[in-house]
Amino acid sequence: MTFSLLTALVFLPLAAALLTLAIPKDRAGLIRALAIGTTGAVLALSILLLFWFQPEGQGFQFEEKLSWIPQINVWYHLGVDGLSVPLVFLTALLSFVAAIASASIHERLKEYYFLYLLLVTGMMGTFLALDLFLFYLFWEVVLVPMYFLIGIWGGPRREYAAIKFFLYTLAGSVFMLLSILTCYFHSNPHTFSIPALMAQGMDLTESTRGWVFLGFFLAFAIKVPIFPFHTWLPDAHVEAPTPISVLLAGVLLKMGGYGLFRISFPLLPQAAVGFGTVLAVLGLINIVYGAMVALAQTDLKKLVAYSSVSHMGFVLLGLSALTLTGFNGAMLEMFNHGMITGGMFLLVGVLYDRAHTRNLADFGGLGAKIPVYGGLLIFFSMASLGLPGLSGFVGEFLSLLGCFPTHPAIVIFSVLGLVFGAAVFLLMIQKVLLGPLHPKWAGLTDINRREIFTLVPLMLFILWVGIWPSTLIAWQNPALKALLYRLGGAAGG
Amino acid sequence: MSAEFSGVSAEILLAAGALLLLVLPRLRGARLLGGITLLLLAGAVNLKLPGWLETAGGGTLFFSGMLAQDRLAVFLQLAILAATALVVLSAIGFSRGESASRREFYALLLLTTAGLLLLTGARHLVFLYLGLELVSILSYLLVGFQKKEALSTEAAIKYFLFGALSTGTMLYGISILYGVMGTFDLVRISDLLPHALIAAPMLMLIALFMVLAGLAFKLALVPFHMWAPDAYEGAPTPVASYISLGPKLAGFALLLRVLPVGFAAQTPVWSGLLALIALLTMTLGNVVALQQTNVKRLLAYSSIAHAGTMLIGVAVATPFGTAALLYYLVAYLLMNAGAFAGVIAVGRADIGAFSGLARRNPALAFMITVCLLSLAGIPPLAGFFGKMWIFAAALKGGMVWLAVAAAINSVIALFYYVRIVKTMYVDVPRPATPLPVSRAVSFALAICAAGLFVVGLWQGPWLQWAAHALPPPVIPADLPWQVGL
Repeated sequence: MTFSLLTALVFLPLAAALLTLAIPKDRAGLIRALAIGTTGAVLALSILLLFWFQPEGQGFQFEEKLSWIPQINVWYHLGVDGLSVPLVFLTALLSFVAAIASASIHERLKEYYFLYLLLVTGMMGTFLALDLFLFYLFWEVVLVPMYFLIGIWGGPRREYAAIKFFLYTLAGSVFMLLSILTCYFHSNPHTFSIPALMAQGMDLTESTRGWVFLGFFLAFAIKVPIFPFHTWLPDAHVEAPTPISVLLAGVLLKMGGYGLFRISFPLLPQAAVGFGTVLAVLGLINIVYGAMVALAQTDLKKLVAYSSVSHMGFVLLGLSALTLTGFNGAMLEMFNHGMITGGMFLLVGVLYDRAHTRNLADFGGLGAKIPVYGGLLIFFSMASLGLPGLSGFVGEFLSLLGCFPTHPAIVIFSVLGLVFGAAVFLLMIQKVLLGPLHPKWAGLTDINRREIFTLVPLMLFILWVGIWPSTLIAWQNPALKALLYRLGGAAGG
Repeated sequence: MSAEFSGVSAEILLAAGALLLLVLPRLRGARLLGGITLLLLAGAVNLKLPGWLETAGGGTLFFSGMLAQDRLAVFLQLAILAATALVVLSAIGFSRGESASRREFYALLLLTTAGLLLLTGARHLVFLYLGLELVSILSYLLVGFQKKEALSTEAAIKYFLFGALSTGTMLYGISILYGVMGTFDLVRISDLLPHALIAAPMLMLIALFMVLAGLAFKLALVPFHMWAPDAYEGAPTPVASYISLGPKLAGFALLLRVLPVGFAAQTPVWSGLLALIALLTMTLGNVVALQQTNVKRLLAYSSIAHAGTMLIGVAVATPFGTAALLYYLVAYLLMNAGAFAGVIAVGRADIGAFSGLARRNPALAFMITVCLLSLAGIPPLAGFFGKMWIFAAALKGGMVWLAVAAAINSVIALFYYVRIVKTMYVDVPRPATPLPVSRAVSFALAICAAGLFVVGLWQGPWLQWAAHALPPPVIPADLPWQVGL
């Protein structure tokens, strides 16, 4: 194939970012149009990818492989399979949506969109790279623009939140780097290639294998985030500007889960299986603890942030199941959480832009004042708390179902989290939409057309996956089966 | 006779050029003087290059074996020349006032560089000591160059006192070695050491420690680092840049020659000792750097930390460690020269001077950011790969704990580098007027920033050259790189 689809997905945003630098500062409209156009083109390409992708195909598709640093056997190697396709699409969609939602940004636009597009390149690259060296590069490239985007355009405590995010994530990644190097040295011939490492295996002793797994796990755990490494998340989410919160929750958290699926499990299957129970317990803690802390929040954005911690617990639970159902649940949960929480952050942003507060106690009775907004908030809240028929339910249910045979006790306690989760969102709806209207909100305007436009695609997918999850499952199932076969688990269900 | 001098032709050129600069009248303009200095450096590069291209791995010996021009020496000599050129470029923009002593500045710089080149090739302890003293004394002068500024003078005196003490200690160590073995030649010492270790084990240990102390001073390793922050802060910024680069490059050349060659029989002793020093140096440098508000002092502690990280490459005592160190030195040279050029461009060293720089001069802020992020070890910049190869060498050399410690340290370091970046991008500019920068400094910074991308993204050739510079015997299995050796 002469047209390099995946390279275009990764480097189109970078090219646009460099182009942005050449546009004079005062041409704000042009800069915005370029960013929206580019992310739109990326979205179109990712839809093409969905159509051309063969779910039943063996191994990786659309592979591109060029020798980069031959002396150390590093390849520019991109490819997709069922694990990455949904996340690539999610990234493209949310990047586009958040680019439109960036209309709320008015300061230093040129720098903003430059960093934004750089971020898109990093995220895409992370999901498409098949060489650990390249993967690490993209993984780190994400950090720098994210640091600036939170640090410059964020809320009052932005500097603290930005550096905390940067330090936490880097702390994880340096250990991943040590693990990557160990993998490299223990493969023969030395290679960074994920497929090659899977095929030829590594001559690691059992204890080394455990340490290598732990190195990777630390990086991914901080990104997911897994308790007790989650404390950067509420700060970063609350301080980040709305579009960046969307990408942070929608895409960046998925990089952790994806890393576990793409690297930890396939490369170190024995260690992964041995680690299953720990993972399940951590998942349980995430689910219950996240939901309980969310329940105590008075800041709307912080509430959504902690509910993310709870949702990511289901991903861990599904992973620890080591069953096909559980894996499917985990993958679905990642995709759905991106859509739902992305939408929730957009809605929080819409309200904050108008009211300039996110304090739950200040609101009340908005349902009658701004009914369209109210309706949308209820829709996304229902999806988030896992109402059957909407996508949130499918992922959580499959994760629990898949995990039940493996860790029944943990699943029983995890269900508690669902109850808390429901309470979180129902109470939030009550505080914001119901009750008497405070007079100071008399002038509040309803959600506008641009804002609705950013939410509609997300709602479509929430409904679609909620009603007909087979579409998504069909993409990822064969790849998950292959992974499970590698792990030697039960392929049933 | 002439054949003997061909090995030092570049050094002679630089020294002669320096003396001519002092003698010739009427040379005042910063650009003219800088231009002449750059030409002389280019000439020196030209004289050194054949040594890189032609010498067999063992190199050529001069002056009855006192001086070696092998590829390791030439690699580092070329790096020293490049570092000096970057310093000269940024000095052209720096020289405000004191035009009368400008000639002396460039002349001293050239003389010091000649000394560093000699030192890098030293293979004989007396020769090594002479080179070290030459470089040290000239460095004291350079640091105290702004003689009317109290801080500069104070820094020079501190530097001098510490320096005299540690070179004295080293001389004592050398005399013990001579007393036991009757030779100053490092290769002879290496042959005799096993016998000496049996005859006088304690004495040999003391000698090793004393020689190490002198080298540790030059490299500003803990606990011989105390001079560095004061010297960097007090010295004129180009000089601070220079003493963070030139003596480091030469110092590592000496470490690589004295320890693995001369003290090969004591490898377990110095390897463990250096690993411990590396750990202390990294950690102290990074932790103290966290509290600095003067960017020059901050860069001083950051240089200490980087020297600690690089020391791991020596401590593992493998060809891979040496190659990783050589790659790191190239990256370090670019990013440190760039960071100091940034301080020169901004004009003041307190962190407040950097606030809002992104709005006063976006290109300058961007280039400084590239250098700082590289120092912090963010890919795809060269500084990251330098760290990565050092980590790899430690893992491969069985020092996993040291690799983990270095990894944790690189997280600590991120904080203070990013704080400067934050000041430039987030803080409000005071004053908000655009900041003009001289072309020479911008050019130096641009070379550094672009170089960090090039050395990082196209690192194949650099790995090849690092491997090429390794002292023989090296076999392919020593390196995880598939390079022709």
